[in-house]
Amino acid sequence: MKRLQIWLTSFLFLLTSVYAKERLLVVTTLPDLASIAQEVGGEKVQAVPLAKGYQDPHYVIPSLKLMSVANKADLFVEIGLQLELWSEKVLDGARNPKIRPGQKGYVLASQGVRLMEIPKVLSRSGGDLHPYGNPHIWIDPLNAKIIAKNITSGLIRVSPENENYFHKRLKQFQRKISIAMYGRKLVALFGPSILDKLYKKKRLIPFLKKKKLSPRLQKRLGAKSLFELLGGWVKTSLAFRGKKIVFYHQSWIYFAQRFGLKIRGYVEEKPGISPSQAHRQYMIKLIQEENIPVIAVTNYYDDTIPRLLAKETGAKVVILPAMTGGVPAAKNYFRFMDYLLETLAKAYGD
Amino acid sequence: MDKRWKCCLLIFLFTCFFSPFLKGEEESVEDLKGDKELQSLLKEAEEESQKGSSSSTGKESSSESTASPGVIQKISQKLNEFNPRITIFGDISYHWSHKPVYNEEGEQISRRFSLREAEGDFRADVDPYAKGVLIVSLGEETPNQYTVDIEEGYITFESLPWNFRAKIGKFRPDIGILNKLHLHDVPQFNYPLPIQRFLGEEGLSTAGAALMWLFPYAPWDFSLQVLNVDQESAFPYPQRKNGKLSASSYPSIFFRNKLQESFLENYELQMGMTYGFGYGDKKNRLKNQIFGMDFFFRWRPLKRGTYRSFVIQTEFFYVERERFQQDGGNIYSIGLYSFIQYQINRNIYLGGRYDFSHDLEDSKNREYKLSGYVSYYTTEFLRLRLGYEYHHLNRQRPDIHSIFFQITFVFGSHPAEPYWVNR
Repeated sequence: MKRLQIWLTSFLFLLTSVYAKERLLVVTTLPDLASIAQEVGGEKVQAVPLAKGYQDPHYVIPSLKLMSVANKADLFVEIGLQLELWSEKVLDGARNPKIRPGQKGYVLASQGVRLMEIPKVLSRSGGDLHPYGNPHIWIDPLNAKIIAKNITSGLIRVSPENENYFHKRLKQFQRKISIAMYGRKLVALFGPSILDKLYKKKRLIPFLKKKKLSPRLQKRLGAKSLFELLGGWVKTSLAFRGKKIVFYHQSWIYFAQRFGLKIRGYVEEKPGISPSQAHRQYMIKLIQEENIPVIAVTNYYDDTIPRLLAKETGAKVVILPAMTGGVPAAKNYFRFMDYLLETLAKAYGD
Repeated sequence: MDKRWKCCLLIFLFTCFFSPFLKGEEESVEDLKGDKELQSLLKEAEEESQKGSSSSTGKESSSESTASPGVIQKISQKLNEFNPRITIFGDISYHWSHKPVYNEEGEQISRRFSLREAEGDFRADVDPYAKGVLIVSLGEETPNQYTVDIEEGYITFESLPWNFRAKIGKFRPDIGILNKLHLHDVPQFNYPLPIQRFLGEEGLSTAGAALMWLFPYAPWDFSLQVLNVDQESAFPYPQRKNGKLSASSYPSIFFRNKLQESFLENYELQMGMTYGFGYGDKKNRLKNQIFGMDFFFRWRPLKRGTYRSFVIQTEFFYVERERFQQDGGNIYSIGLYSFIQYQINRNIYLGGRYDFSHDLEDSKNREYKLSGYVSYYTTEFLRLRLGYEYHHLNRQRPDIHSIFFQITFVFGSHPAEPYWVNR
């Protein structure tokens, strides 16, 4: 009996010591933010998203349960830009002063991101407008680097003793993104910074194509040209770069811009407004006239109307997740981007 | 040498021999860093990356900017975000009944259009610790006569320690589920009978203070509310004597707790209990008590959350009014309502409600209502609703069949709050 007591006491002690040594709890609005936070936080962080990857991030109910999760958070991360309209209610209900906006434990992940589609006229006649610009910034790996930097700053604020650790992890994550983006060999040759700069200015592919390699270097690099060294998501995107697409909702501008898709229109008449008959006719005409091969729909939207349009025009409907966890294969941010690129490449390749 | 050591030696030798061949691609390229040709390529790449934007690409988009505090502040000024966020709610209705309905002044209130309510909602952060809310309403009390009222005006303290949150001012107290909602937010055309009869025609809104506490280990919320007693028709029913309210100088006190849980992702359950007491009679301190239970269930598939949902909600109230034996002794009244609502697509909701209530003065008098409605949301900001209601009053008064048409709209800086649709 005494032995059992000792065992139980030791077990409880172990349990409490593990609990006491607990990792920083980072609560994020979106699963992508959680995935990035986990990457930069490593073993010192437990990142928990409030929304699911297959849920419309605009339409999350700020329930007592979500407030209860945020109540224990050391750090709260959100995109802002009026995407998570529900987060204010979660923060109010969480009763956790540490994570309120302006406090150490609050991170606005979008800070420093170049915003697009800022409405020139703010009027509800334009539909569900986001006054600060399109908030779907995470569907661009180069923005993920900025998001990671913002999260790292937040982690250092709440846990300054781990500053070196978080900085090291941030560097590793940013390099990992670059490798996933351009391929390992190019990153090793030029470094992430130069590649990012070239790519943002849309000069990377022409540069890689233009530069000739001597036979000696060709042999040493195992490639006939620099362009052959290109890998990762940029290489996958070559299958649809410069091609036309129609999206259901106005949330893909960052992805399209980054990977060279030409958005020719939206199935929704205005953001958040279902298409009228006249708009459907307009879209049919547009898709037929411009020979647009793909209509892409985020998986939390009803695909009935896009399928009708596809039937009329012969275009292909592609269902895409908008967030990490949106489909089982998109387990983390890297797999999510893999899935998007591969699905679109396949759709255009078929 | 035993087997284990042999094994270790073999692994060591294997690693030593093959390690040069196991180098990753990245490392093998790193070895070339000293190569002159490569260095010149690197220099060229660096130069190329320093050049301005290529003419072919131009700006990424004509309407873009960097999210920096400066830019956000600039846009915020445009939105008046440093001033209170201002939102206007409007509630217009047409009420048809098979027999004319009159108010206490004898004016007909059915078979006519009415701007039932227009509400101005002002809210802002007061400082890093508190938020302020002011809601002013213009309501049509009698036909074509509007009265201005402060519907709510309170401050909340959001940065209290130990999971507390406080609210002080005039507000709609947390008694059950629907009392917290303003008339235009109620999922049906009007408040259910038990709320109208026990808490006031438009529910209870009064001045007071509330302290809320969140249980740290579960989604379980507790509140203690201390409220003024100054509305004749509302709990705890202060009497009017010689033209003055004979309310107790003691405030009413309410306790509430609610527990919410989600399961299997798509289902949400909430249960709550409320107990309140107060004194409606100053001189004799006759105690009135109210006990309430509420239940809320929602099915909302996360993958199609904007298209499908199903809600069941019910609230039960029990009221005990203390009276002297010579006046007939204590009165016990009960009331309840239940509603179901099904969302058939992104825009349309169908629902029905059953209300039942005793009369507060005479529990033998009972009334009930049966109603059905269809709500159509063009967007989160505009709703049209058509409903039918059958109202059985009591034996002395005839039943009423009514048809309601309602338009509710929101404009201003209020962001789209989709959950407004359901709650």
